[in-house]
Amino acid sequence: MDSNLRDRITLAIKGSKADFTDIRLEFIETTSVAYRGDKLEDYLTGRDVGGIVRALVGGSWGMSSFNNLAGLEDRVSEAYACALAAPEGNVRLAEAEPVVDVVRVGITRDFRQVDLAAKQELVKGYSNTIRSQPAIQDAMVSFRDRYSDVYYANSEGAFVFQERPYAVLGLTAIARDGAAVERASDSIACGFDYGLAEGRDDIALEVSARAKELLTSETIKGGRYPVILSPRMAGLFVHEAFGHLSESDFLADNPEAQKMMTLGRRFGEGFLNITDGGGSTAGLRGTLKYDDEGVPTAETHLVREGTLVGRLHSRETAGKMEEKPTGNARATFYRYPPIVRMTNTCIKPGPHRFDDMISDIELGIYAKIGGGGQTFLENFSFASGGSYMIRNGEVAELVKDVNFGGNLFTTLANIDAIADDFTWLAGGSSCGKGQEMMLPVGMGAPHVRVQDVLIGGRS
Amino acid sequence: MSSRRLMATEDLAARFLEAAVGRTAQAEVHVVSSDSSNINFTAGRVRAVDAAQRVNVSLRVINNGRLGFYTTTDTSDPADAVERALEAADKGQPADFDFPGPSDGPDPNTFADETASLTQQALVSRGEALLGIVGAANPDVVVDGNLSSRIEATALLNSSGCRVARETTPVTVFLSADRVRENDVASVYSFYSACRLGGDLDTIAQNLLQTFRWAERNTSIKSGQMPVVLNPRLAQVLLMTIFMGVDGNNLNRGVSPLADRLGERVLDPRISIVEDGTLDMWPSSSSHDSEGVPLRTTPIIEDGMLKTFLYDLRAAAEAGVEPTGHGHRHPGYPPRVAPSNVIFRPAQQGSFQDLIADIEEGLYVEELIGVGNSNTIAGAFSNPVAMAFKIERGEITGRVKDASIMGNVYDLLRDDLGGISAETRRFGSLEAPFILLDNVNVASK
Repeated sequence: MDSNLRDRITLAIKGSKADFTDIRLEFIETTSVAYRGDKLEDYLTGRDVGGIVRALVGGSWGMSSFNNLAGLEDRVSEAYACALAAPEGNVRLAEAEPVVDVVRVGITRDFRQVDLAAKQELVKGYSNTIRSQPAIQDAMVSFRDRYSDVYYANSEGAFVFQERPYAVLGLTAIARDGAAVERASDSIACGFDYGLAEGRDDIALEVSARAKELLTSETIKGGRYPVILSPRMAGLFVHEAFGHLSESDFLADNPEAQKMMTLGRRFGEGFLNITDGGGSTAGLRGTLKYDDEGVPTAETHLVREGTLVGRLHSRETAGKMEEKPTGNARATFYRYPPIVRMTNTCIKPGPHRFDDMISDIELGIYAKIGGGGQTFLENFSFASGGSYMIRNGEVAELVKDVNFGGNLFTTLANIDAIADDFTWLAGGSSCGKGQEMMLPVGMGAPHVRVQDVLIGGRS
Repeated sequence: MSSRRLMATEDLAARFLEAAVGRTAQAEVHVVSSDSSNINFTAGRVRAVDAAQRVNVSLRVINNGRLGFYTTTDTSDPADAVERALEAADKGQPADFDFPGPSDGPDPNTFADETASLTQQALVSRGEALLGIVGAANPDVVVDGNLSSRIEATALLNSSGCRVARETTPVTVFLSADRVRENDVASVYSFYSACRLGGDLDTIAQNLLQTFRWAERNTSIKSGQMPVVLNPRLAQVLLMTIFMGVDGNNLNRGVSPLADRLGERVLDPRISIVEDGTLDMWPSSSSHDSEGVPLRTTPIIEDGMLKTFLYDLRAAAEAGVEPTGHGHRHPGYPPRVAPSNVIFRPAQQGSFQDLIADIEEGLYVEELIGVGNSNTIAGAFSNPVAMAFKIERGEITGRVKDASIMGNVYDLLRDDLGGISAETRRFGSLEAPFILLDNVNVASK
C-alpha cells in the first residue's frame, strides 16, 4: 500500500464540492499463456492502471474515469461538472459505517512468484496430454492471471486497500470425426493457490474423453424432463435462475417488480435455502472483504426455508428501497462504477440423499458438467457440456447439445429434492451484466432435483 | 487535416517505437486514446453523467524470430515496456511473418463533426426524447438507457515503416424496457451504434413499442418442427457459426467444417454474406486492420458459394497465404481473426409482413437466451426464447413463453431456407434481413 497515494486521494476528495465523493484507483498486472494445439497463441504480460471518481450532486451522479493518475483534483472537478450536467435526480445513498482497513489476502502459492516460462511449460504439457488422446484434433489450454491492488476512499472518511488475486486454468479438447466436431471444456480457479493448477492431467484426460464421447452421442430429444443437477450445475442454476433476480438494481425503480419480489413470498419447499456472501468462505472466486463502496460483504440470506427473505444491494439501491446495504456493489475494474452483483451464491445442503433422488426417475437427465448461462429477468437458460440420460433410476448414456430453459417462479417451485453433499464450484466462473463482462463470482450447491424442466432438442 | 488528439496519439506511438528500435529486430506499436461522454438513464430519468479518458499502448516485438507482446495503460515508461515485451519474446511463439510496410488502403469517413461536438447536455436531451417516446406510449413500462459518444484516435506504427493514424466518432445507444405485470415479465432491449446519431433512433423506439404491443397477449404453441422467423439481430446466431468456419485459425487447426469447401455451394443460393471495412460511418470501418493490412470488401458467401477464408498475419503465415486484412483487436489484446462490418444480403423484395404472410403456424423470434453456449463451430444451437411470438395464418397472434428452439445452422441454411426479406435492420456493425427457416425444432409445453 502506497501511503503517498493514499494522501493524494484523501486530499483530492477534500477539495470536492459534491454532496458525496468517492475515488477508486486500481493497479493491475496480468499474464496470459495460451496454447492452441502445439502453437503458443498468447504469451503476454500487461499492466493496467486507472481510476474512477464518483460525485453525487442533487441526487444525480457525475463520474470521471481515467488512465492518467496525475491531477486527481481535476478528475474530481470533472465528475462534479458532469453531475451538474444532469438534472436533479433521486439517488440517495443508504448509511454505511466508514471503514478504514488494509486487506492483505492470504495466498498459499502466489502465481506472481511463478515465472512466465514455468506457466508456459505447464500449459504446453496439458495441451500435449490432450492431443495425445484418441480422436482429438485440437486443444486449447490457457493460464490467465490478474493481480489488482485496489484503493477506495470516500468523503465520509472510508479508506480501504485490498489485494485481489485471480487466476484460471482453462482446458478445452476438440474431437473430430469427418465433418463432426465436438468440444469439451473445464477450468480450475487458482488465484489463491497456484498449486491447484499443477498436476491436473485428470482434467486434461476427462475433457479429452468427453469430447470423443460426444462425437458418437445423440442430440437430446426436446421436451420436459425431471433433471438432477450435479453440485456444479446446481451452482450455475442458482446463479442464473435466482441470483440475478435478487440484484436490487432492477427493483429499485420498478414498483411492479418490487411487488413481484415482495419479501415473504413463497418460492419453494421448506428445504430450499439460498445465500450470497463475499466474506463467509475464504478462497472462492467471489470472496472479498469489502465491496467497491467499502461496505463489508456480509452473508445475505436470500431464501430461507423456501421463503424470500432478502436481496442484494449497493448503497444506492438500499437507499432507494430503505433497506441495508449488503456489500454487493462490485465493478469488474476501474472503468466502471460499481453495480449490484453477486459474490458467492449457493444453495445450502438439504435433507435428501443422491441415491434416493435418482432411484425413482424412469426417464430423466443427469446434468453433470456446466456451460454458460444467461438470465432475462424471470427467464433463464444454462447450458451443459456434459449431461447423461437417466434410465430406470440409473445414469445412462451421454447426450449432446443440452440447454436448459426456465422461468424463475415455476422452476424454483419445482425443486423437489436437495441432497446433503454440498460443494463449492472449483472452476473459474465469471459473470457478465450490462456492459461488464467477466466478473469473478463463486457458486456452490449440493445435488438438486428439479421436475419438469424444458430442454430444447430434436423433435 | 490532423487534429491535435490524432497527432498526440501518433507522437505517443512514435516514442514507444523509438524505444524499441535498436533493441529488437522488429517492433509494432498500437495506441488507442479516447475521450467519451456517457449518459445513464434509469427508470426514464438521468441517473449519471460520466466522462472517460482512456489510453492504451500495445507493443509487439519480433526478436530472434520470436514474438513478444506487452500492453499497458501507463504511458510513462516506454523503455520498460520494451523490456517487458522482449522478456515475453524470449520464449515466445516463433514468428514466421514480418510486420507489413506502408500500403494504401480505403479512406472511409468515420469522423462526424456533429458527433465530435455533441455536448453532454445535447446527449441528455436526445436520451430524454428517446425514452419519452417509449414511456409515453407505455406508462407501465420502466425504461433504462445509455447514450454515449466518443472521439477515438488510433495510431499503428511499425519498424517496417507502416504508419496508420485514424480518428473516429463512435456513438452507441442502448435501450432496455421492462414491463412487469404480476408474474408476467416482458423485457426488451435494443441498441444502435454508428459514427453519428441518425434518425434510426426513432426506429428503435418504434420497434420496442411494436414488441410490447405484440406481447400484450400470451399464447402457447405445440412442440414440433415448424417455420421460424428470426429477427435481423438474430442473424448473429447464424453468422457466429459461419465466421468460426471461415476463420483461418480454425482451418489451420483442422476443425473448420468448411475445410476443403472453398468455391463450393455450402448454403442456399439465395444467401450472400459480405464483410466490408470500407463503409462510411459504420463503426468497424477503417483504412487498415490493426496490423497494417488494408481493409477491403470481402464476399464471404456469394449465392451460397464459399468464397474465402479470413486471415491475420499469423494465420496467413501458417497457411502460406496472403493476409486478408482481418487482424482486429480490442485495446489491450493481441490481434485476432475477426470480421469488420457484416452485411447479410437482403432479398430484392418483401417486407417482414410478406415473409410471414404464408405461414399457417410458426414462431417469430426476437430474442434468445444463452446465444453462443452451444457447439457453435459445428453449427449447433439450442436456446430458450426470451421474446417470441406465435404466427397463425400470416398474423402475429401473441407472445410465446417457455419455448426453446434448436437446430443446426449449416443444415438449416442449406436445406431449410424459407425466405429472406428485403426489409433490413442495422445493429452496430451488422445489417441483416428477417430470415425464415423451415423445419426448426421447437420444444414447448
